[in-house]
Amino acid sequence: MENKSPFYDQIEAFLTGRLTPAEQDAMRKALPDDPELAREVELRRLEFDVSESLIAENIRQQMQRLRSEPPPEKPPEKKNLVALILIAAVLLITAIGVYRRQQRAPEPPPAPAPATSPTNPATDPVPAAAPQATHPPARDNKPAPAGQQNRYLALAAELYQNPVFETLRGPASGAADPLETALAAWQKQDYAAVVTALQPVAATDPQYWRAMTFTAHAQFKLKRFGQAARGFAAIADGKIQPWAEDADGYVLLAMLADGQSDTAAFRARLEKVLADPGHPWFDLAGKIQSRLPK
Amino acid sequence: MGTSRSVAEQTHRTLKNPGARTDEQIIQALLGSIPQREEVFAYLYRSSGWREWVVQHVCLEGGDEPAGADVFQETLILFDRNIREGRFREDSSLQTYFLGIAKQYWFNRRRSIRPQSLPLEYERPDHHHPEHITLQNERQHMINQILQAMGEHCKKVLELYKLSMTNEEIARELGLSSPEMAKKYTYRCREKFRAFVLGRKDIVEHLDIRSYYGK
Repeated sequence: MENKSPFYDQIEAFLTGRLTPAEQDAMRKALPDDPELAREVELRRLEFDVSESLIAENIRQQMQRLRSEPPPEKPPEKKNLVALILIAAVLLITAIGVYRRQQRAPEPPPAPAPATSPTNPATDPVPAAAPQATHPPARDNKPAPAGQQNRYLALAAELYQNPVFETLRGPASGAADPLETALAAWQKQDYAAVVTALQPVAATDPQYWRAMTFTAHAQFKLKRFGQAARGFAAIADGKIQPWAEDADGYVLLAMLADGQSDTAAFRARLEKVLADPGHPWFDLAGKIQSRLPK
Repeated sequence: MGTSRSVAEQTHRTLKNPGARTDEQIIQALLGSIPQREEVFAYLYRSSGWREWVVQHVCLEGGDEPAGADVFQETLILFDRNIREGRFREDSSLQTYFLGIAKQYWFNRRRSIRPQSLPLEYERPDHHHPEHITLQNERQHMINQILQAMGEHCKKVLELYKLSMTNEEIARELGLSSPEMAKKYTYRCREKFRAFVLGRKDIVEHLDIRSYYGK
């Protein structure tokens, strides 16, 4: 359609009041003298109303959907909040007590242990030949901060899984096999004896990584979490599979129990596992992450 | 003065509710895409506190909760249109502006429900005279007839066009292959609207453009 005056381009601005007062006035004066312009203004006004009616209908529909939503749960009032905090504190203390009692209770018996060939055990809980680069710092002698540390300790205990002992056995068996001796001691929950039995195993021994793994577990049971963490870290960093990958999860638990969850080393190890959805400890790492403060 | 009061109100509100949106954020969302608009409507309904205020006001002024919910909804529609058409002059906070519309709306609606003496603080708009209401009803009936004739796609196009969506946004919303297609489609729908209206004598008469009809 041919527009006969510049006013045709200004109809929309006129209808929404976006013209200057002078332009608005000029348009108003032009309408009686220009019937076609007046018709265009009325048509556009009707189009606006039709469109606005559609927009309004959409808003009404959205409001209807929102009204049919279940009401949001109200946050607890202050009085209730205090009561909830008290209940949570009592539950936490009870949980810690139960956990400690469980730690003193006898372990379920492991699988029967055939003897393996004896080797030279190392004397250090973490053999000297183990890689040292990213080992966690020793914290065994530091007193654990009460609240948070107890929570992490409980979390580590909750997530800890007893190793499958069959994988720790060597191919040979014999009365003097340190692994066999260690397994027998494990059955008796004599974890100090496990560590002692495995000390002579040298780094050159084919059983070395088995002995390392077993020793680190024994240290964990002895609540020497720092030593356990260093042992598992050495295995993880040794990159000898399957020991290394298996140790990735335990080193996290040992560091957590040792109060190292706020360290860069812990975060780095956690992120390493979380970055690999195929990692056997991926789910465990997710659980740990979900329980740590953001 | 209005601006500094508005800033103080917003600061107070943000301190009380850290998730609160600023007036600028609300306006930008109302002028934004369809998802942005829907999100801000949900925010205004759920978290702004405006709905609760409106319902409370209506209940105190002789209404009930469903009436309050309805007033909130219709106020939101008027408020949204005013913002989009640049009628908000920013001489108060958006909240004050919204609540002002709600009060006016409820007052006008009550007058048509039950005539009573008018409090001084309210305006007396002329467009709520019975004659005007009759004309409005006729116009709404006409609009409904046009909507029935337009078809779903064209209705959507008219809505998006009125929301000042770009051709890209219209293409995306309607699943069209290109902005160029959206442009053509918009033109066709607006022509369809025009042809339908000019083809209906009763509508043309209502619009008082019969002298031009048939030219």
